[in-house]
Amino acid sequence: MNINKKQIVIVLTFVAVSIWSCKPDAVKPYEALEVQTGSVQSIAGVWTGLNVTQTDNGAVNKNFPFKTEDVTQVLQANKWKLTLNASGSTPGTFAIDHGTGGVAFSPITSGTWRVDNATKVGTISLINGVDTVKLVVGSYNNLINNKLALRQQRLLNGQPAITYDYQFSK
Amino acid sequence: MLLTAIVAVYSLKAQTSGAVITTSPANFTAVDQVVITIDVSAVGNLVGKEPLFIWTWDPGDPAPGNGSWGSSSDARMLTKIGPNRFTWTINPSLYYGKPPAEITQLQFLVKARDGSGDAKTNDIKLLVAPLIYVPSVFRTFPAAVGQNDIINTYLDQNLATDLITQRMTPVSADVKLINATGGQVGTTRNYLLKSAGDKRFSFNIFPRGEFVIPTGTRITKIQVEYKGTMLSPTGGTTNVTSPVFETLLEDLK
Repeated sequence: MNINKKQIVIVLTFVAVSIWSCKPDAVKPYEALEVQTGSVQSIAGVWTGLNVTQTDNGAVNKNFPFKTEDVTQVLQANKWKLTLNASGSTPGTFAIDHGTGGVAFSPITSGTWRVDNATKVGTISLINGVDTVKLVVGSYNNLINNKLALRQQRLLNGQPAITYDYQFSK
Repeated sequence: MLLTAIVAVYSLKAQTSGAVITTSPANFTAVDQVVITIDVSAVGNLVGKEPLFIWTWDPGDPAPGNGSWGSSSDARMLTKIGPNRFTWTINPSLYYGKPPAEITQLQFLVKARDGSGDAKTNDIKLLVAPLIYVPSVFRTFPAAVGQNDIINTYLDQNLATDLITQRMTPVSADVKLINATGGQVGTTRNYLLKSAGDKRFSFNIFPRGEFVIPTGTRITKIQVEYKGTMLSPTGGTTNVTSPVFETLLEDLK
């Protein structure tokens, strides 16, 4: 097969032009398409109280009767509003409105809130001056269903004595 | 934190008596972590001495042992928390290496490293609660509570041992909060009872929310008196009040 110089030049020119015309796509900065479940953004908002249970850890550990009671009605928890404000992934202020007749679950009702991990929140701290209430965030599956589960433990000599499980909805 | 004061066993040797023992929780089982606080301010032979040591023999003398009377083991050293005040924190079952069922009491004394010259307290005995549930005429839920908790109180007349509590028709309960020095905090509040059937009654208390408690005040005890009526010998009814029932409050964090 005869390939003359002219044909070679044409092919090489075509290849060169093709390569020269190739440009990389502009790389766009990463943008999350949706709020990540368990992040500060997914937890921020106004939450309404649903129910509260109180667990006697001593009774659980010793397998005594009377381990858990539902105290929703006593606390009138369905009147509660928990507002967690945030700016992007940064927690801001919080406010707890116990409503008329509602009983305070927290000794502090306003201040700032902090988290241990902004993308995967495990613990929320409600802070007002020197007072801090620590709440552990429950399963992220709750957040998918617009529910927020929080757990508060009261300690005696460093050991859990009473556990309060709060559930809120958005 | 410190709720029950138990004055140590006394003897004729006044210089070794007077230790004040408090425990947190006030009632503990063999599997609970308990903080035992010993105040030796009134023990003449130990005032101002430190470090101080535990010398224990019941339910046993756990490893590595008490040491010798003239030189206590470092493992038995108490933690100083203030002038003449020391703590000893243990889980009895783990500390003594014995099954919970074998621990019904703790016996010990507190001494200087060298106990010669009676540098010690008298013998001290603390009862350990059984690891079984014991029903009672009056109880709270949860069993260990603090002044910042919701407290559900229960009266079971079936278990009452006094005639008034057994026979009365309870309607309400008067509640008093008591501080560490025995004084009442705030005013007495009256609560209506809810019947749970079969002569059982309950009501909820939320000390922090329902009483005026001055900042920094620790409530150590709640006293409850049940009010109601009872048939009189003449066939009418008469107002009656039960004996006072108490529950100790812990310093929960």
